[in-house]
Amino acid sequence: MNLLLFSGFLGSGKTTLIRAFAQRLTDEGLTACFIVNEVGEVGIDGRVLGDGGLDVYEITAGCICCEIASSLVTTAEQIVERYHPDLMIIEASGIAAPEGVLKALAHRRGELFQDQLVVSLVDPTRLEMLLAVALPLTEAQIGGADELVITKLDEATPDELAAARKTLRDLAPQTRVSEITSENPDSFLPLLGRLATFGASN
Amino acid sequence: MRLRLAPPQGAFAEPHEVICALLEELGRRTESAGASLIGHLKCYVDAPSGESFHGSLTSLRSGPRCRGERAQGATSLTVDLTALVYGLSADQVEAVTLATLRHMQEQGRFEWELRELNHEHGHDQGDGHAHHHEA
Repeated sequence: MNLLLFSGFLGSGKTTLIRAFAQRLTDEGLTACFIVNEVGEVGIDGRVLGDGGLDVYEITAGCICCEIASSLVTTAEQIVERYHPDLMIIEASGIAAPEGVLKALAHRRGELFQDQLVVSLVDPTRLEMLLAVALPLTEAQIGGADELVITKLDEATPDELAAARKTLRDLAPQTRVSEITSENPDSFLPLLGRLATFGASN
Repeated sequence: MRLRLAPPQGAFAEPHEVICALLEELGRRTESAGASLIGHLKCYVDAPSGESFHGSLTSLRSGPRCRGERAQGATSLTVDLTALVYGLSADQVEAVTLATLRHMQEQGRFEWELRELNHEHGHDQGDGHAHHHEA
C-alpha cells in the first residue's frame, strides 16, 4: 500500500480534488481508503466525500500533524488490518504542515505503507494574503510537497496566477506544478493520471 | 455549531439560496469585525426528505457555493456550520455567527434554533502552524 497525502490551506480545493481522484481510482480498479482530518468537532469534508460513496475515516477535533497524531497512526493501522487497500489517502486539515503528518507515520513506513507522495494545493486568489497572515504554514505546505497544484484558475486574475507561479518557483523550484479548475474537469486529467500511476505502483 | 433553520412560513423554495445568503452575510460580518482572513466558512445541510448538500465560502470575492441535492420544498434544514477565521477570537467568531443568524431572522429569511455549540479548538503556534478560531 502507498500513502498519498493531500495538503493545502483551508478551502484550497482538497476535497474537490479527492472526489475526482476517487472516481479515477474506481475506473482503474484500484482500492483506496480515505482519512479526513478536520480541526473542528463537526466533520464536513468527510460527509461530502461520503456522499460520493467513499469509505471515509474521520479524525476531528484536532490536527493530525501535532495534537492528535496518535489517532492518525491508530486509524491507519485499522485500515491496513481491515481492508489492505492499494492506496491510503489522507486529507490533512487546512492548517496542517505535511511534514508533521509524515513524521507521525514515519516509524511505520515499510510496514503500514511503502511509498509516500505529498500533494499540496494552492489557492492563487488568497496566496498573497496567506503569505502575510500565515507565512510559516504556507511555506511548510509548499515546501513539503512532492507535487504542487494551483487551483481555482477560473477565479484568479492573471496577476494572481502569475504571482502564485512565481511564489511556487521561489519556494519549491524543483517541484512539479499542475494547474486545475473545477469548472474544467479535463484540467484534472494529467494530474489524476500521475496519482493513479503512483497508487498502482505498490 | 449545529442549527435548525425553519422558513418563516411554508417551505424553503430554494435552500441553496438560503445557505449561500447565510454564508455571505457571515463572511461580510467576520470581515467587518476585523478578521484578517476568512479561512473557510462551510456547512453540511440535511433536509427532512433525506436530501443533503454542502455550502462553502473562502472569500467574499469568490462568493458562496452550494453543491449537492437541491432539497427544494424542505420544511426545515439541519445545518452543521463551521467558521474557521483568522484574526478573531473564538468568542468573537461565535458572537458574529449568532448576530448573523439573528439578523437573517429579522430579515425574514428563516427562523433558527441552536442545537449544539462546539467548543473551540485552538492550535499550536509553533513552526509551520497557523492560528485560527472556530465557532
